[in-house]
Parts: sequence; C-alpha cells; structure tokens
Amino acid sequence: MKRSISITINGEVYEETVDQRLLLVDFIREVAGLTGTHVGCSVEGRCGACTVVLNGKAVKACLLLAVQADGASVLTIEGLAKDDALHPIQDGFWEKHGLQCGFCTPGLLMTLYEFLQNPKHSDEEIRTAMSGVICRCTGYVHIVEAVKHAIATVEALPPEERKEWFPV
Amino acid sequence: MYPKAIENYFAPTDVAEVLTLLHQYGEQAKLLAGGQSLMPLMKLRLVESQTIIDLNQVAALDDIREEDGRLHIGALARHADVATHPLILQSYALLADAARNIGDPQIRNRGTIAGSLVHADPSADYPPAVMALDGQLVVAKADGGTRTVALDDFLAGPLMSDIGEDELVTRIEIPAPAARSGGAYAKHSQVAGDFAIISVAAHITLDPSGICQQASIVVGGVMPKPGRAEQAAGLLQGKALDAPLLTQAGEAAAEEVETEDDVRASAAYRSQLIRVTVPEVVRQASTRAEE
Repeated sequence: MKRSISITINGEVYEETVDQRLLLVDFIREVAGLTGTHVGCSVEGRCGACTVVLNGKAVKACLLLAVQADGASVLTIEGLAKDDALHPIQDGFWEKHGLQCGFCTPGLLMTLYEFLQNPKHSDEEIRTAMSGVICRCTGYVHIVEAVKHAIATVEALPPEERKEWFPV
Repeated sequence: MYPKAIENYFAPTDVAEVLTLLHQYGEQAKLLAGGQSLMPLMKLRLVESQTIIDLNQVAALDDIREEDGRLHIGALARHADVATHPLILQSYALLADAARNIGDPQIRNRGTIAGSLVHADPSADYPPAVMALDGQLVVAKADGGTRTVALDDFLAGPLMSDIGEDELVTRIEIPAPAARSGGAYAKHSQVAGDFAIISVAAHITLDPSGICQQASIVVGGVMPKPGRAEQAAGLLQGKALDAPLLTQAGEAAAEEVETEDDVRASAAYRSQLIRVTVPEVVRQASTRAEE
C-alpha cells in the first residue's frame, strides 16, 4: 500500500513514504509543497496545467503515479527562475503579456521549456508545441508572441549561458 | 478523481521478471506502460486493478531497428520517438504520420506503441497505420513461449484485443517495404490531437513505370475496429494512379466501409470524409513512393 520513494525536484531531494496511488502532481504539491504546478481537469490529462519536466521530458504529472518517479529528476515552474532573473521563457510571457489569469501558465512554461531546447519557428510548429495545454482566457495569440520572443532571446545567448538555462 | 488503492506496485527491470509477476498475479494485475489511457481509466474507476506492474523500468524494450528485412519497434517505444526516428521517417513515413497525430507533445512523450495497440481504441491513430503496413505483434508468454500475431487478428473490437492475462507484447514487427513503396496517414478530428472521426492509412507500391503493384487502405474511426477498404485497394492494382481512379477508390471505400453515428459525428458525415480523404492519402502515398 505504501512505499518509500525519493524524487529530486528542482535539485532538492524529497524523501517520503507515500500511498502507491498518490499521483505525481500531488507529491509535488502536497509533499514538496510546490503549488505552482496546477491541477485543472484532474481526470484525462486534457488541460495540461500540471505539466512538469520529468528527466528532460514534458509530461502531465496527473497521469503518473509518484512511485513511478522514484529516483527521477523533476523540474517545476519554481525551478525556472534564477535568483532575480526570469527564465527566457518566463521573460517572453512577461514582455508579450502571455497570460491573463495565469492558471495554465505553469503548464505552458514547462511544456515550452522542452520545446525551446530545440525550437522550431513557424507559427504552426509553435502552436503544435503548446497543443497539450489549454488556455481559457487570453486565447493563444499573445502566447505565440511570447514564445517567439523567448526563442529570439535563447538564440541570442552564448552556448554556455544557454546551457545554464536548460540544465535538464 | 483518484485511482482506487493500489495494493501492489512492481517496477520490474526485465521481461522475465514481468512474466513471473503476470504468472503470479494473473487477472488481478494490470500492465502500466505510458499510462496515457490507463491512468484516466483508473481514475474513473473503470479499471480497479490492485496490482500494477510498471513496465517503464524494463530495459531494452524501447529500441527501434531493422533486422532481417523487418522493422522492429520495441513495445515501449514512445510516440515522440517513433514520430522522429530517422529510419521510420525514411522508410515507414506512414507510421511517423500516425505517431505525430496522437494527442499532444506531453502524451507523445509518454504513450507507447504497444500500449496503444493493446488498448485497441477503434479511433486511435496507430491501429490503421500498423494494419496498412501488415504489422505483427510479438507476444511473450509466462510459460516461456512466444507467439506472433497479425494486428488484424489481434484487434478484437472496441477496447478489446487478443492478449492473455499472462502475456506481454514485447515488440511490433513490420515487413520492410519493397522498393518504390510509400505510405501516408491522415485523420479528421474535432480538435487537434483528439481521437479520429475518420482516419485513413494507405500503403502503395509502384512499378518503375508508375503502375500500382500493391495497395492497402485502412480506415480508422469506425466500429468495431479499423476496416480494410479492400475493394478500393483492388481498384488501384495494375493501374496508373490518376485523379479519376483515386476518386473512384474514394467512392468504393465510402461504400464498403460501414460507418456508425456516435457523439463525434454521424454515419453519413463519416462516409463523406472517407470519400474525400482516401484520394488525398493515396495521392500522398504514391508521391512518397516515387521519391
């Protein structure tokens, strides 16, 4: 029924004995106390608000058991910024007004984190990249602008600095 | 919503261990691959297995390679990997089309090819594509044996496939296409990444003068499982694939593949989509065959 697991989230190790049915999203929110990862649809994994980066891949944390992430490395929205500096993708959303209520934003940012490591540039490719997160207030026009802004920022970075923003 | 309490969670690291667990727990156990269908089913309590055997730690179950004139795709190959694998893009583009059409990027990062085929949703993307390529599943049994089964026979109906309680699909095998072959896949859905209202997979082999030597056309989004449009494919054989012939093939496919009404679309709309999509997909397949 219960199992002891250890998950590294944003570089910090969290060890806990959890119910085997505990969802990864609830481990992140309840055990680690990182409530930036949101729960929207909560059933089918349709809304994407709970997206985190697991071992380098964007995944919906409501469709994984926490026990499946035992020994894994997770990056959440709280792990993006460095000290006072916003991550380039966050900065893009800031500059281009890529959010309104902000509920879907953590999911979008974590999905785009993976995309930005090897970004493609057409509007269609950007829209495809974010098709797994549903925004219900701004529409997607400003978000696409934000992503373009972020792509330009990332491409202007020297390689070593770019690597610093994409540790996993 | 939350899954029912899980009594036993196992994360075996090799196939033998999986089979031992299957033998031990039988029908009580559920295999967890990508989890993109199973987890929602568990949350909805449509699946209430007390024993979960997580396949994600099993080594070497996700490789993609060609061997003895066949493409081998490990059961655990993720949709994102199939969609971008150079070998698949080059010689089995139809499969990459299907993988790219599944869900969204996060789902494609987790979902697996064998998971999709065993789940057997009639509106899923992989089944018609793998059928059009005459794909087979290699199944390991708890008693140590293995069997190979054509996907056509493996799919039994909506969410029903021919998998035993003590069996594990280990890979998908697809015969390497002959020279001058090409395939394509397209779907119509209500929103991007949704299940198909109608999908069409076609695989074509041309002779050097552009005459169609072999054709297979499979339609997804129909009940009880994807259907082969054999008469439409038959029309193409031995002929040059000009526009009037493709239109005729679309008509034939719409005629022979039975459609039903459901929440996504009416039967008549589905038939119309088959009529117009078959020519488009066959055209793309033959363009690729000529490349």
